[in-house]
Amino acid sequence: MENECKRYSVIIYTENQIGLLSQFSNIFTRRGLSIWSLLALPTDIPGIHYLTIVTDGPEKSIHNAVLHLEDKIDVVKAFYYPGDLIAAPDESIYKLSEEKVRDFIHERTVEKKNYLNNRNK
Amino acid sequence: MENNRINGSEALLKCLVDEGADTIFGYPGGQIMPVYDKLVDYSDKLRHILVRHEQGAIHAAQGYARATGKTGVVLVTSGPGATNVITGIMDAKVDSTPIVVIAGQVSNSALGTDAFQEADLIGMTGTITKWNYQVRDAKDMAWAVSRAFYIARNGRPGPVVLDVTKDAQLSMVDFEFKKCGFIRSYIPYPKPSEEAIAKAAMLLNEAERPFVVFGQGITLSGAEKELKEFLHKGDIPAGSTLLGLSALPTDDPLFAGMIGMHGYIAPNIKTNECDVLVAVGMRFDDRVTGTVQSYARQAKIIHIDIDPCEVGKIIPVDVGIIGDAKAVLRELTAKIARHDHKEWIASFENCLEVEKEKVIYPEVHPKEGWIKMGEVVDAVAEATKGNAVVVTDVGQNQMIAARYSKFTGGRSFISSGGLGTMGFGLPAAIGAKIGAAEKTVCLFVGDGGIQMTIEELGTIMQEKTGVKIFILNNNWLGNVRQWQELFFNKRYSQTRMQNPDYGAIASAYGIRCAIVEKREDLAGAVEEMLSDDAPAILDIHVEEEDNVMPMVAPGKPITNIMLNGKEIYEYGK
Repeated sequence: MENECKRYSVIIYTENQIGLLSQFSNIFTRRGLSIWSLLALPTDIPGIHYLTIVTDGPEKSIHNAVLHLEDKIDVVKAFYYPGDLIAAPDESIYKLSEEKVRDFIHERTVEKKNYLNNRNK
Repeated sequence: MENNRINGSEALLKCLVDEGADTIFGYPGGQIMPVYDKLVDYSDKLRHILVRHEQGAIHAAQGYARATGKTGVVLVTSGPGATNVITGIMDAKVDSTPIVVIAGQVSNSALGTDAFQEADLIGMTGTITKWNYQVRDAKDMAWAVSRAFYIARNGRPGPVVLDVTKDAQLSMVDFEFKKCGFIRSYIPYPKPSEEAIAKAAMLLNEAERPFVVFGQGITLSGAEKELKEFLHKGDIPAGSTLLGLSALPTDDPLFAGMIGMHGYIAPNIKTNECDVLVAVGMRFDDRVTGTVQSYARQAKIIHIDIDPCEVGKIIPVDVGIIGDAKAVLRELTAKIARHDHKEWIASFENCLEVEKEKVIYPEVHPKEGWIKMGEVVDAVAEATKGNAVVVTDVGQNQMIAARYSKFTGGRSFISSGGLGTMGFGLPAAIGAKIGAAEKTVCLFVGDGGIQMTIEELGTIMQEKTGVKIFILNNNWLGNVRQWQELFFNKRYSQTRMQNPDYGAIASAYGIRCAIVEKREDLAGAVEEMLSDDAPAILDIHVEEEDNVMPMVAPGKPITNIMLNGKEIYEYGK
C-alpha cells in the first residue's frame, strides 16, 4: 500500500448508538488522521445510519482505521475510497428576478431564430 | 405478571444468574448500593468476592475468566470505583478476556452536571471495550445484560462495560429475560473461506520447512486437540507466543518453545528459515517479531485469526484465513497430507544445545552463588509435575516463569501479555484459584509487582483462597534494571527498591510465610508450600542482578539474540 498521503472518503453504515461518533473520531485521532468533513444521515433501514468521513492520510493507516471501525460491534459495514474516485452528482437552485428570466428567454429565442435562419439560408 | 414486577437492581442480578454467572468480584459504593442491597437476597446463587481495591476486582475477574473460560463479572460503584477498573479493562481488551463490568452511575437527571462521583465512563471506555452501554431505565436491563454477555464471550472475547444509572437500578420493570443470540451488525464467527483453506493446504503440502506459531486464540477457541492433530499429521514444529503457552503440552515432541524477545533460540531462528509460516490465533506483536522488515521474509505466510483486523495488520500475508481456530484447523488438517520433516525438526536441536549450554543450565542448575530465578521456577514445575496453573506478574518473574514452567493441560498460564500490567499477578491468581479451586495455583511475582496490589492479601485472608505466592525478591525493579544495564550504560535510575518484611505482612494477614536464602533450602521450602491447599507465601531472595536471557534487543531482528551481556548467538553457524 502507498505511503503517500492522499484524500480518502470513508463510508460507515452503523447502528445509531450514543457515543459511537466519539469512538469513530478516536480511531482516526490515534493514527494522526484529521477529519476534514463528516456527514451523518439516517438510511431507509430503521436504526441504521450512514456516515461519510473525509480524511487525509497514507492508505495503510486508512485501511487499518477502516478495519478497526468494522471491528466495532455496532458497525454494520465500513469501506473507503480514494478522493478522486468519488463522483458526487450535484443539483443547484438559483433565485432570479422575473425580468432577468424574461430577458434570458428572449435572448435565447432570438439566438435560436438567428441560428435557424442562418442554417436555412 | 404481577410477580415479575421487580426493580432494575434485582433484574440485573436475575440476568446474571440467567447468564450462568456464579461469581462476582466487586466493591460497593454510593451509586451501586441498590444492587448490593438486592445481592443479599441472591447470596445463594451469586458468590461475591470483596476485594480491597477495584483494580483487584477486575484483575481477579480476568484470572477467573482465563482459568475457567467463563465470563468474569465485576461490580463497582461510579466515579473512582469505575476509573479504578480502567487499567484492567484495557488489559482485558488487549488480551481478549471475556469480562462484563457493571458500574453504578449517578441518577439520570444528574448526568453531565459534575455530580458527586460522576465520571463519564462511557466516554472513557469507548476505545478500550468491545462494547459499552449506559442503562438509564430498568426496562433496558435484560436486553443490555444479555447483549453484554453475548458480546463479551463470543467471537474474539473482550471486556464490556455497562454503566447503570441510579434510575435504572431503582425503577420498576415487568421482568422477562430473553437471551441474546444474534446481533445484526456483528458476525462473531465468520465462515472461513474454502478457497483460502485449499490454498493454505497446497502451500503446506509443498513445504519442506513448515513452522507454526500459535497464540492464545487456540485456548480461546478450545482448539488444543485440533492443534495437536494438525501438527502431528503435518509433522510441523511449533512455537508459542507468551499467551499461547499451555495450549500445547511442554513435552510434546513438536513443541519448540516460546517465541519472541525472551523466547527460545530455536523457534526464533527457525522463523527466519522456514519456507511456510502458519500463524494461528496470534497477532504478530512487536515483542514477537522484532523488526518487522526482517521477520520471516523468506517464508510464505498463512495467518489464521478470528479477527479480520489482525490479518495483514503487521505482517503481509500470502493466505489470510478469517475464522475460528478450531474450525479452520479441523478443515486444514483434513486437507493436508501426512508428512515427515525429520531433518528439519532435527535442525532445531542445534539451537537448543547452544541455549542449554549458554543459558538454561547456568540459570536452572547453577553450582554456586545466590539462588537464580530460573531454578525457583524449575523447582515448582518439578514439584507440581506441570499440573499447576501458573500465574505471573509482569517483568523478569513473568519471562522466567514463561520460559521454565511446564504445562500438561490448557488454561494453565495466566499473565498480562499485551498491556504488561504490573500488579496483575496477585489478584489474577486469586481469581484463578476461585475459578479453578481443584487446581494448584502458583503465582510468580517480583518484589515490585506484589507491592502494587499487595492489599489483596486481605481478600486471600477473608476468602481463604489457597494461592501459592512465590516472591522472586531481588530488591530491584528487575526488568527495568536489566534494560538500564544493557541499553542505558548501567545508569540505574529509580530501580533500586527497599523491601518491607514480607513475613511480618503475611503474619498480619494470617498467611503463612517462609523465607529462603540458601539453595539447599529451596526444594524443601517449595515442597512444604505445596503440601496443602492453604494460602502461603515464599519470599525467595534471588540473585540481585540476574538477567533474563536470551534476549532480542528492542528494534533488532528476531535472529539477533543476546545469550548474555557479552555473547550474541552466531546466526547461520
